[in-house]
Amino acid sequence: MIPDAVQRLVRALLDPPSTLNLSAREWNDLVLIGRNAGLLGRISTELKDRGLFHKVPQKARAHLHAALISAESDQTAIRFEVNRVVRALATVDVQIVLLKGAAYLMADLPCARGRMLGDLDLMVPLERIEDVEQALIKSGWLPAELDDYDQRFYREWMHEIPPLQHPTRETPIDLHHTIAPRTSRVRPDAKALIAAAVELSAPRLSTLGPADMVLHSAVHLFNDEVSKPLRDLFDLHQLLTEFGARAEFWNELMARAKLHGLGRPLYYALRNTRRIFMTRVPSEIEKTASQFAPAAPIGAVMDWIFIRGFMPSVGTEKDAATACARWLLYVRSHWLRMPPFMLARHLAIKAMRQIGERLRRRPIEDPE
Amino acid sequence: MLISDIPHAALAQRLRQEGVHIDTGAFTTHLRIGLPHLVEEFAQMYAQYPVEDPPGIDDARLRIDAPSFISRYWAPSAAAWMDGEKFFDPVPAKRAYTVLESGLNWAVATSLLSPMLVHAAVVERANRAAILPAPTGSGKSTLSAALSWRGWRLLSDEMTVFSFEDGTILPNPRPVSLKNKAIEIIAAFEPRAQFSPIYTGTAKGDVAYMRPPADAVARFKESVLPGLVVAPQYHEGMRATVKRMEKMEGLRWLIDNAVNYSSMLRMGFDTLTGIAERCEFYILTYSDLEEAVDVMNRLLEESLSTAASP
Amino acid sequence: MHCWGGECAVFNRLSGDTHLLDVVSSEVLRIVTAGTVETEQLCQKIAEFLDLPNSADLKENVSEILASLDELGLIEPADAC
Repeated sequence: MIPDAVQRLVRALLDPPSTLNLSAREWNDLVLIGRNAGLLGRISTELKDRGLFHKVPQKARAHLHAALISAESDQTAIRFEVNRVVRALATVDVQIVLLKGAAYLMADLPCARGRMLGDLDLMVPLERIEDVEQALIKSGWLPAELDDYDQRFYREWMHEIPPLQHPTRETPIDLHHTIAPRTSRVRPDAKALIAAAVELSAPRLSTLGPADMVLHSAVHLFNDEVSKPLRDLFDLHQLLTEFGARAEFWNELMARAKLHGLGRPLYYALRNTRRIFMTRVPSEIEKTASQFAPAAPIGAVMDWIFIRGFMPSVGTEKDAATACARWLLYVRSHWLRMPPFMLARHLAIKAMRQIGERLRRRPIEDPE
Repeated sequence: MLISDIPHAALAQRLRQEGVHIDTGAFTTHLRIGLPHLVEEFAQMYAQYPVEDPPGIDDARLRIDAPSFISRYWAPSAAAWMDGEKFFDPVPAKRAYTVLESGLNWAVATSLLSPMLVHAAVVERANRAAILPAPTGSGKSTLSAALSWRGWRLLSDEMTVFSFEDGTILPNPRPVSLKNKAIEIIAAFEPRAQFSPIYTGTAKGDVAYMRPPADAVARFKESVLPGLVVAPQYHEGMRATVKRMEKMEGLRWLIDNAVNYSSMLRMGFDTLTGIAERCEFYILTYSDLEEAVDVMNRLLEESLSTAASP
Repeated sequence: MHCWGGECAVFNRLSGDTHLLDVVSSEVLRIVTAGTVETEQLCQKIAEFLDLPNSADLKENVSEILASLDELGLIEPADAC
C-alpha cells in the first residue's frame, strides 16, 4: 500500500549510505519526493554528517544543498525569534515552554537536523497568557489581523491566541496554554504538562518532558491537520528511538497517555511509526497500547486513511486516493477539534472565505 | 544529442507526451509543450541545445499548454505549469513562446540552488566575467547581445548564477530578450544574429528573442570567476562614458538585485562581498553600442593589467 | 566585516541579516566586539576616533547607536551584576 517512491524515501532516511547506489534518475525522483515530504534537508544532513556528501552526483548535491540552506535559514529565524522573545519577557516571571520544531531545535534533538521549523510555538500557563501577550505587544509584536469570527475561533475554541508577528521579521509566534484545542474531545492536563517541563541550558527556556513531547507530536499529527505528515511521523520515530533508549521512558509514556487521555493518538503513533519506519517498540508496550485501539472495523479504515493521507505527492501527479484520504483527515481533524454543531458552520465559513479570496486575487502580471 | 538532431515529428510527440530534458548550462528543465506552433518556435530557438537522454536530474519541470479544451480552439491561449501548479495567467497562444522564456526564468529565480543575481547579465572574455547589473529597461540585454558578437562570450542576459561550491559564475545562456527598438538595433549591429518572431501586445511592448551565438552554448559548462562589475545605463544621445563606483555602493547594488540573498545567509554574504573585494565597479553611460563595446574592452584591459602588476 | 571607505558590511549570524553600517556605527561595533566596554569608555574612544570633544551630544549619539545595534541583535547589554 505504500508507494515504491515512498519506500525508497524511507530507505534513504533509515539507511543514508544506500543512496550512493542510486542512478541519476533515481536521485531525481528522490529529490522530488523528499522535497514534497519536507525530508530532503534531513537526507542532506545525514550524508554530510557521514562525510558522503561529495559522493553524491553534482546536480543532486545542488538540490540537497538548497534543502539545507532552506532549513538553516528557517532555523536561524527561529533562534533569533526565541532570543527576542526571551528579551521581551525579561520582566514577566513565567516559565516559557517551547513546543514542536522550536523545542527540537533548542534542545538539540536529532529530529531538528535539516528540518524546516514553521512558526514559533510557545506554551505558558493559561492564567499568564494575557500578561505574556501584552509584554510581547509592548515589545513590538502585532496581533494578526483577523475578523471577529477568526478572533473568537482562536480564543474561545482553539488552544491558541491569534498569532503574533513582529513587523520586521516573518516568524509568526503561536502562544498556547495547552496542547489540544479547548473545545476538543481530548483534555490534556495543562498543569501537569508545565510541571513536568524540562529546563534547557539556555536561560528561561524549557521543553515538555520526553513523554509529553511524544504525545504532543502524536496528538498534533493524528488529531490536527498538518502540512507535512510523513515528516511529523518521522519526528515521532526519532523521538521514540531517542527517548526509548532509556528503559523507564516507555512506562512514563503509558502513564502520561492515561493521565492526559491521549491513549488513542499514542496507539496510532506506535502503530504507524512501526508500519512505515519499523520503529522498535517493546512488545509489552505495544500490547498495553492496544487497549486504546478503536473498534476493529474503524481501525482498518483509520489505517487506510492515515497511511494514504500521509503520503507525500510522488512527482507532480496528485493521485485520487491520496486526495480522498487527505480530505477525510481534514474533516476528521476538525471534527476532533470542535463540537459537531460548530464544525459545519466553521467549514462553511472557511469555504466562503476561500471563494472570496479567489475572487479578490488579481491576475498575475503578463510575463514579458 | 541536440534538439536539432531530433526529427520534427518525433520532437513534437516527445514534447507532447513524455517531455524533453533540456540542458541550458546551469539548469536542466523537464519540458513539455502541447501547442504545435510553439514546438516549431522552440525547435528553432533551441536547435543547438543538448537534451539529456536518458534523463538525469531535472532542476525544474515546466509545461506549456492550452489551459482548457475550449481554449485550444476558441480564442486560443497558452498557460504554464511549474511542478504541476499553474503559475502564469494565460496569454494569447501566439505569444506562448514568451511564457516559455518567462517560465524558464522563473524556474531559475525561484530555485534555491545557488546564490544568484537577477537583472544582471554576465559575459566573459579572457577568462574574466563582467557582471552587468541593471534594472529592466536599462539596456543590459541589448548590450550583452552586442558583446556576444564582438569577442565576448554570453553567459546570461538576465541572471547571474554562482556555484555554491566555488563561487564561480555558472553559464546559463538562453535566447536574449530584446524589446521594441532594441530588436532592429541588434539586427543592424550584427547581420549574423537570428531572431524569433516579434511578439506584440506584451506588457512591455514588442518582444523578440535572439539566438545566442554558437560558442555561448558550446561552452556553457565553462564556469569563470567574476572580474569586473559594469552597470550599463542607456541614455539617448550620450557618448560612452565610464565612472568608477565606490565599493560599498556597488555592494548595495548587488544586494538589491540578489533575489535569494536573504535565504542564502552567510554564503550569500560571502559571495557578494567577495565580488566587492575582487572587482572594480563602474557605471557605463552610452547610446552607441560600438562605443560601449570599446569601453568594455578597455575596462577589461585595465582589469587584466592591474592583476598582472605586482 | 568588510569595510570600504569607512563603511562596513556585516553579516549578523544571529539573525541571518546583512547590515551596512556607517563609519561611526561600525567603529562602535568593532570596539564592542573586541570586548565588553563601559558606555563612558566607549564614548571616550569614539570622541578620540572622531577627534571631537566628548560632549553630551556625542554621548547621545553613541547611545542611539548602541540601542540600534542592540535592537538588531548585533550586541547585547552586559548587565551590571
